Order: sequence, then C-alpha cells, then structure tokens
Amino acid sequence: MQRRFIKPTPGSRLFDIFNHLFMVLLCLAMIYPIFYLAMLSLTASDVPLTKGYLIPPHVSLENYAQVMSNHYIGYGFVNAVRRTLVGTAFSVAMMLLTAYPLSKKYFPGRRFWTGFVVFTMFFSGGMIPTYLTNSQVLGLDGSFWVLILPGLINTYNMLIARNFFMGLPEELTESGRIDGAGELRILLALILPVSLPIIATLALWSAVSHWNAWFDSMLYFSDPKQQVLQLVLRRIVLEGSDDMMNLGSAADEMTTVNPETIKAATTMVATIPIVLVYPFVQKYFVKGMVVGSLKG
Amino acid sequence: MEKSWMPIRIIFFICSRVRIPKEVLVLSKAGNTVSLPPPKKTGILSRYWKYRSLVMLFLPAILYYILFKYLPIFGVQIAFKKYMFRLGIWGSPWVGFENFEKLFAMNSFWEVLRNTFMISGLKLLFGFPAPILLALLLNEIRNVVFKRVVQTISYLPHFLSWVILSGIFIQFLSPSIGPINIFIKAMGGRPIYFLGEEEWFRSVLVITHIWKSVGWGTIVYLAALTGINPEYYEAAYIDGATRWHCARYITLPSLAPVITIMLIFAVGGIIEDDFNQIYNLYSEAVYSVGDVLSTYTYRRGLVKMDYGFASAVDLFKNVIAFVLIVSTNKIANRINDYGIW
Amino acid sequence: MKRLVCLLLTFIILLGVMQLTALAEEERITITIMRDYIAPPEADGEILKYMCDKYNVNFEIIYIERGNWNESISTKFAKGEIGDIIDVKGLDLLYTYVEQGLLAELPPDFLKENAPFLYNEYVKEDETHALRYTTIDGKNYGIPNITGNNFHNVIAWRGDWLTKLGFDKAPETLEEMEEALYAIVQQDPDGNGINDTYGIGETGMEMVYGAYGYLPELWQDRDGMLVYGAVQPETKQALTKLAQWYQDGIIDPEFVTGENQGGYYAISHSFNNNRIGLTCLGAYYHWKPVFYPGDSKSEVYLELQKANPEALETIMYGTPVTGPEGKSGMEGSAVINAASTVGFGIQLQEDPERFAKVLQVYDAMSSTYENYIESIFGIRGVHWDYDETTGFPGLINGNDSKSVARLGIVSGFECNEYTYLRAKPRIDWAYEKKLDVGVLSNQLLVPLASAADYQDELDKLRDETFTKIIRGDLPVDAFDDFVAEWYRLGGQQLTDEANEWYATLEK
Repeated sequence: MQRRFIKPTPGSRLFDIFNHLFMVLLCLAMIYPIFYLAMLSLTASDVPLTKGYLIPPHVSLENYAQVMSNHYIGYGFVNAVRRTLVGTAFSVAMMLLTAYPLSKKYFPGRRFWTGFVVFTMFFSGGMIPTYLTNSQVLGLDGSFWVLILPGLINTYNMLIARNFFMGLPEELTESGRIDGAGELRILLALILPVSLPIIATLALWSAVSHWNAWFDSMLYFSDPKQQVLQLVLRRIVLEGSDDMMNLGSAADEMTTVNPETIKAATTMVATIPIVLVYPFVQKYFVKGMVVGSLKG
Repeated sequence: MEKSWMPIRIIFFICSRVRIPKEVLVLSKAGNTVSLPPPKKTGILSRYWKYRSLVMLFLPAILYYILFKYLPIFGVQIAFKKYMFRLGIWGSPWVGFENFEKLFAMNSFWEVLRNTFMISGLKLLFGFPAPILLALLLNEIRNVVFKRVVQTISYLPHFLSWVILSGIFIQFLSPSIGPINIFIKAMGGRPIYFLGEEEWFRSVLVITHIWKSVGWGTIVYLAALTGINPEYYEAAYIDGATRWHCARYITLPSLAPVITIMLIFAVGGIIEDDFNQIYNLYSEAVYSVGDVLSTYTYRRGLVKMDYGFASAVDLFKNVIAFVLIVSTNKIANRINDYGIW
Repeated sequence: MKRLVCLLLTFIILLGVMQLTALAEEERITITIMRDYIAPPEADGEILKYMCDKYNVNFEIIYIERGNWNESISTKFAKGEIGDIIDVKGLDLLYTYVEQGLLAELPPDFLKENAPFLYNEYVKEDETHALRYTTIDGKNYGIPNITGNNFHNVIAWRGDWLTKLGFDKAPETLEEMEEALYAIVQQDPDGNGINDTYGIGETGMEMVYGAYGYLPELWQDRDGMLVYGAVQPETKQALTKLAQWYQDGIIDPEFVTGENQGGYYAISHSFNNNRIGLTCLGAYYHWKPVFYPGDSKSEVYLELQKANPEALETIMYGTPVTGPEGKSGMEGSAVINAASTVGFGIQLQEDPERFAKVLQVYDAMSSTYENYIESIFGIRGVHWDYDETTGFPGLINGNDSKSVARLGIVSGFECNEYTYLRAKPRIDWAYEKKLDVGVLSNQLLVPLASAADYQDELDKLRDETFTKIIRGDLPVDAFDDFVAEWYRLGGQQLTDEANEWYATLEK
C-alpha cells in the first residue's frame, strides 16, 4: 500500500479514526440480517416463532439436519460446483477475449462491433423465444452446456473489462509488438498478467452469477438429480409451504408445512459457500502490476 | 509551495515518470509504425486482413452473439402479435400496436411511469456515488485483515433475497416495535410508519437499496484502484501532497474509465425497477408512490399469460433505456474518452 | 432326450408368454399428466409403477415447477408439449387456455358415458349444474372442483380479555363487537399498565363490511342482479364505522403491513403478541387442535401453544356479527373452487378412443374410497394404512406428502364423501365452531371478458381509496367519488358482462 510515507498529521490521524469507526458501524448494520437468519436457522422447533428473540432460548442443528437430509442436496451441490467452475472459466476467458479487441482503437469496425454487442443488451427475444432457440434450434435441452453457453458473455461486465483495458498504457501493447508478437501473445503475456484485478472481478461476478442461477436449470432439466443447489433449496422451501393459489384444495389441507427456521437454514446453506470465495480471490487485487512491465 | 499549483505539479510529475522506450519514440518520429492507426482511405477488407490476428480473437464472440442473442431476437415480434402457443411465434396473428395501446391506456400508466423514474432517479443520485465513496474509504484502511473483514461483511446483504429482507425490514421499521422508532420515541419524537406513509416510502426504498448493494458495488472500483501506479503516490507525498490531494488528483481521475461506463449503464437503467424489492415491501397505502411499471404489469403479463403484452412492456422499457444510454454516452464522450462508443 | 424336449417346450411357452405380455404392454396407452406436485416425481418412482400396472396405462408425469407455475407451463406449451390432463389454476386461466386452443371439449354426455361416477359427483341432480362453470360458449372444457364444505375463516377472540372486561361470550352483533373492542382498547385487558392493545387488525374488518350485507371483493346477488360489493351504499356505512374506529384507536395503525409479519402466512403475529383482541386470519385447518398422531396442519394452533398458551386456552370462537339490519357475513368458498379446475389437452379431442380411456381410468381411480386413497398416498401397507384407533388412512413408515409425491402418485378426483371420511375430526370441529354460519360467497364464477383490462386497476383503486378513508386521509364522502370513478373506469362494463352471464344460469 502506498501509505508508507504518510506524515502522521493530526488531520490524517483523525480521519483514520473516523474512518475505522465508520467501518465498524457499517459492519454492524450489514451483519444484522445474516446474524438474525443464522439465529433463526439454529432455533429449535419448540420455540415459538411469533415472539422475537435475539438469541433463541433453545438452539439446535435440527433444521440443518432436515435440509441436508434431502435426497437431492448432494446432487445439487455437485451440479452447482461443476457449473460454477466450468462456467466461470469459460466466461472469463471469453469475456477477456472479446474485450481486448474492442479496447483497441485500431480494431476494424470497432464502432460497429461495439454497437453489435451493446444492441443485445437492450433487445432480446424474451423468455419464450430464447427457450425455443436454445432447446429446439440449438438442441441444448437437457445438456450440461445449456447452463454455460447462453450466458457465456455478460455484455455489461465485458464492457467494463474493455474499459479497464483501455485504461492501460498504450506502451504495453507497443512494446510487445516491437518484439514481433502477435495479438494473442500480447494479450496472454503482457496484458493479462497486469490485469489480474479485473480478471478477479470478472471471475467473482461470474462465479456468483452461476452459483445463484436456478431458472435455467429449472427450464431445461426435468430430472431432479440434475438440478443445481439453488433450485433444490428453493424447492425445499416451497415444498413446505402452501401459500400457493390452491388454497382450499383438499390435498393442500393435508400437507404439513416447514417452519421459517427451515427457510433460514436453506438460505444459510445457499449463501455461505459463495461468500467464502471472496477471501481467496482477494489476493489478486494487488497493486502496482502495471509498473513492473514497463520498466526496461 | 502554494497548494493551488498542486494539481499541475502532479500532472507534470506523472508525465515525466512514464517511461516510453526510446525505440518507440524514434520509430514514431520516423513515421510509418505499427502504433499509429491506419489512414482511413484503406478498404474495409484490407483493414480486416491487416489486423487479422486481432479480428480472429474476436470471432468466437461474433459466433456467440449470433447464436445466443441474435437468433432469439426474432421473438421480439411477439410484442406486435397476439401470441398463441399453438400457432407458435411465426403463426400468431399480428395486432400492430394493440399491446402498446393497452399499456398506455391503463389508467395509472403515467403515475406508474413517474414513480419508476422518481425511484430510479433517487437511487441513481444517492446510490451511484455510494460504492465509489466506500471504495475510496476502504482504500485508506491500512490494516489488511480489518479491511478484508469489512469487505466480506459488506458483501453479505447482496446475497440475501428481498423476500427474506422484506420480512426483516418490516419488523425493523415498525412504528411500534422497530428499533428505529423505539429510538425516536426515546428521543421524544413521534414514531414514523416508514413503510406505510407515502412521504417516507421512497426514501426507504432508496436507503435499503443502498444498504444492500453498496458493499458489492465497491468491487469493481477496488479492482480499478489497484491498477494505479503507486509511484504516483510516492512522488506526490514527497512533494507534500495531503491524502485529500491524492484522492482528488490521482485516485479519482484514474477511476474515470470505470466510473464513466458504470454511470452510463446506471442512467440507462433508470427505466428499470427492482421488482423484487418493491413487490415485497409495498402495500395499498403507498401505491401512489410505490407502484412501478413492473409491479403494475406483472399480473397482466405473467399471471394471465399474455406474452404479447409482456413483450410489449419489455420492448417499451428497452427502447427508453437504449435512448438514455446513447444520449448519456454522447455526453460522456464530450467530457472524456471513455464512453461506450 | 425327453428332458431336452421338455426344456425346449417350456422355453417356447415362456417366450410366448413374454410376447403376449409385451403385446399387452404395448397396447398400453400413455397418459401425460401436468398437475401440481408438491415435490418433483422421479421417473422410476415406485408408486408410479404401481399405478401404471394397476390401471394398465403408461402414466407420464410432466413436472411443472410449483413456484414458477406459469413460466414453467408456458414454456412447455410453447414447445408443443400439452398434457393429457392439466391442472388449470383459476377459471380465468381456463378461459385463456380455451382461447389458446389448448383444451379439448368435454361434452357432458361423453363424460357420463365414460366416467359415470365422476359425472354423478360433479353434476348431481341438475344436469349441468357444476359444469356450467366450465362451459364457455356452450361447450364444456373441464371438470371443476366442487367444494363440499363451505366455511369462512376462523373468528378468534381473546377470551381471557373478554372475560376480564365483563363479557361472557363472543360478541354476536355489531354493537356488542363495538363495545368489546372499545373496552379492549381502553381498559388495558392484558394488565400491563400500558394502553397498547388494539381491537382489530386488517382481518377483523371483513365482518364489519359483512354486517351491512356486502363484502367489498365479492359479486353478490341483489334483487336478482349481480352487484359488486365495493360500490354498494352499504359499504359506505361500513367505511364510516371503520373510519370512526380508526380515529378512536380501535384499529391497529399498522394494519396495512398485515397481521402476519413473515413466516407461515396464516399466523397472526399481532394476535399472538397480545396486540389485538380479534383475528380472522386462518382457516379451520390452521386453528384446529392436533387430533391424532400424524394429523397434519394445525399450524396456528401449534404456534400459539408455544407462544401464548393462555391465549390459546381461552379463545372464544365467534360468528360473523349481525349489523343493524340483521345481516352478517364473511367470505367462504364458492360452489366450486375456482382456483383448481382440471382440463384435458386438445390432442384428446382428435383421439376419442384414448380420451374415453383416460376418463375411464380416472373414473376407476376415483370411484372407490380405497382407490382414491391409493392414488394420493401410494401402496397400502408400504406407504399408508388405516390407523388402528381412528380408522383414518395415514402415511406410515416415515412417509409424508412430499416423499410420496416423489414416488409418483397419480391423484384421482376427490369427492366430498372422501374428504369427510379422511378428515372427519377437523370438519366436525369446524361445524362445532359454527364456521359455516354466515358465509357469503362470490356469485360470479366465470372470468369476464373485460376483466383482464380493468380488474387490476379497479382493485387498486378500491384498495387505495378504502385504506385512505379508514385512515382518515380521505373523508368518508370520497366514497361517492370512488363509486363514480369505479363505474367510469370499466366497472360498468364488468357489471354488464357479469349480469349477462348471470342471466344464463338456471336458478
């Protein structure tokens, strides 16, 4: 960090104190709902839920046991991890590959191609035409790749990456060209090592998006064993609820409902894995990589 | 040294520190180099050939967009049709602008549109700078562990759905049992029914939206911040710049490319609304300020399976968003070079 | 040698038998099912296989995602996948499906011929009684779900508070109700020294409307014509009363966000937490006690047991209070359950033989009690059995409704007799608590052509206006403007269409 040289002026110190204080308050404000959910998920079943508790009188893991005992959780987890890893890898690679040419001013038809991709951000067929294209024209119904390919490039994110590339010094590319390298080599050997922060960002966004996705899984797969975790969890919550349109139907009158505690436990199970990813990605947010490659 | 000269000194300093390999300087002076853009008179095809290695990198993307984005676009015509499942997209009958007429003829349409813009506008005004400021503040934290903890915690709200959050907020903001009102009452004030009063509802939407998204929103700015050459800061300090000077003349300008594009997208998104947030928090008492385009049309489009109508609403929103983005982009281009086009 | 010949013969016979059974199986028709399953069925589910074998058909379940019913079923339709038997979740959807050409016509005679039991159940004395509701332009398109028991929601008073304040039973008239509510608000029944109790939340208001004769959300008969409750002059009287109550602090000021604050929808936090004295949230099966081990539902009862046992013990169940003209009412189910109708895919119209077979199979499935129970619970002795003490069929071996759904149940049609047989204790309980008294139900049972255009707006106008009047943001006289506005914005159209339909009903 660049603060090695700070002259500890009183103003500076005061700022630091307030800053840290502010951060602490921020954390308290933000952690409250997760804390509340965590407590709810640990609440034993003999505790009434209409009374509010900060910490429940009886704590138990039974909610988690019930969620995890669902037959499909294991499959859901594996499917989600698989899709997240493969999807993120391909997406990030593809987005970088697309952003780089668009960032170069001499890319032929640059304005046209930029318009070409931006247009798709606004005009799309909608749920049914997309579904029909993917399933019938491209034959992806029921295939693992339907989770990866349609969402391969998030244009929005890709453009941010493009702008990041545009902010890199032109000399970087030029020094590579002087040495006779082709564009691909320049990209791989020169640009990417310096772009770790944006790569990490793209990876993070992509991973979270894949991890949280469930709608496509629902549309294209009918076998419960092929569903992703989020859908399995959604179903657990819905299986245990009957606030659907069918109130009064005899069958609904016989079903027993999952309490709120199960909902809380499923949210925790869904959220914790992906939240833990950030600390690992953090180390790629490292400073000053641009400098190194310019010197000499 | 007078402080007002600071910015100029810093800029000069930056320029002097950037080292351009001598060879490039020489070559560019000689004239014909690869680093110069080509003269415009060259034919299109030969340009593509000239830069073929770059073009090849882009080819997979073209394929992707054609297959997965442009192919389904034929479905946009549904907005002008009465979509019948059995007739398919091609076979369903044309109805011209009927779906759009239905939309505009709805009694509260203008009120709803106004609400959408108001809420999104407020979110933009307060919600756009928030992650930037937070990113800058986070950047000033020296203790790596503390910083990482704060960041992770600040991301958490992003992952919770509004279905869950609404339950929490309804309790939190309750005039009788919510902590905020308990505090207000303790201070001698009258409790405020935040979610039930028109004057407050919008503010609640904006504040809870910021609360949920600010942490996650800092990521992209933090990524950009790490790309700033630390030598600039070193040199600035040596010359006596304060932290404030650094922030204003080094950090912010370096973030310009990212901020610009985020801003353009944000403005384009003004016609959008956060259906999940509003649907879960609103009630009859606040319809007049809280009912937005998506809540208003959701029953008609989705529940009644009128896909022609739903498609028309989407198209309407998208056209507006597109116009907004193009305009903002033009403005951005005047100011700096980092627009979309 | 003889041995060899014997062996060969046996082998040939075996082959022959296999061929024959294969032939028999090949003759099995396929029936595709698009119905609501509480959990996704597995393709090779045990119960599914059993049902296939029992009825000698190939049942194929096309799972529709419960939480995203419309999107899920729309994409199937768009793809050209139309089930043979389809759950239509709402009569307005029935109209939409028919308009889209998705459903086959089911002439009553055809139904009578192939499914006599169902026909008798669903049509009863009057030849086209129930099928009127699924008849569009003279043609019938499905089988409606006839509701047997017509109960309104529970009316639960805090008996301990009432007793303390000097009332010995639940109020029966609007005056008594007013008295009781004012006492609750002003005389601190929970004895904590603070005036923090309210009379009612949003659910308690319904009775007040009913006391004047008309419920704002229903179409009711007035002198032989259908009228909409929200625009009747009597409703103005109800609103006047409610506005007065709000001003006097009888109504919980937080009523707009509802008595339920998250969690299971039928639980009233306001009631459980000693905030209000009367709630009407929840149906009989939420409030009933648990009658026997394995008895399902009772969510409100169980929660109250944990959260506020004193309240639970002293609940006084009331009936809808009568107003100045002796009228009363709360909403109960209509003649048919509009939210659940069954339709048959259009492809059956072109294949009358298969259509007939489908009807026959479902008729067989629904015509005896045990067949029906099998169709919803599975194999007797494996998944369910009759309970020794009570005689009710119950799930055994750790199964619950979700697990049997996963194994592929193929549900038949439940007739009222079965409901009663299965759920006798709770239904008796409901009658005991007089939940069938004072039921008002929606007389308009078909979607109106213009409903799609106007209904949402009109509902929004109504909700907004009424809330404002009650809270005092608008004077009660604003009601008159509301009525004019309502008619102007499409209400007149709807009323006319409603009466057009109403006139065609033989009464």
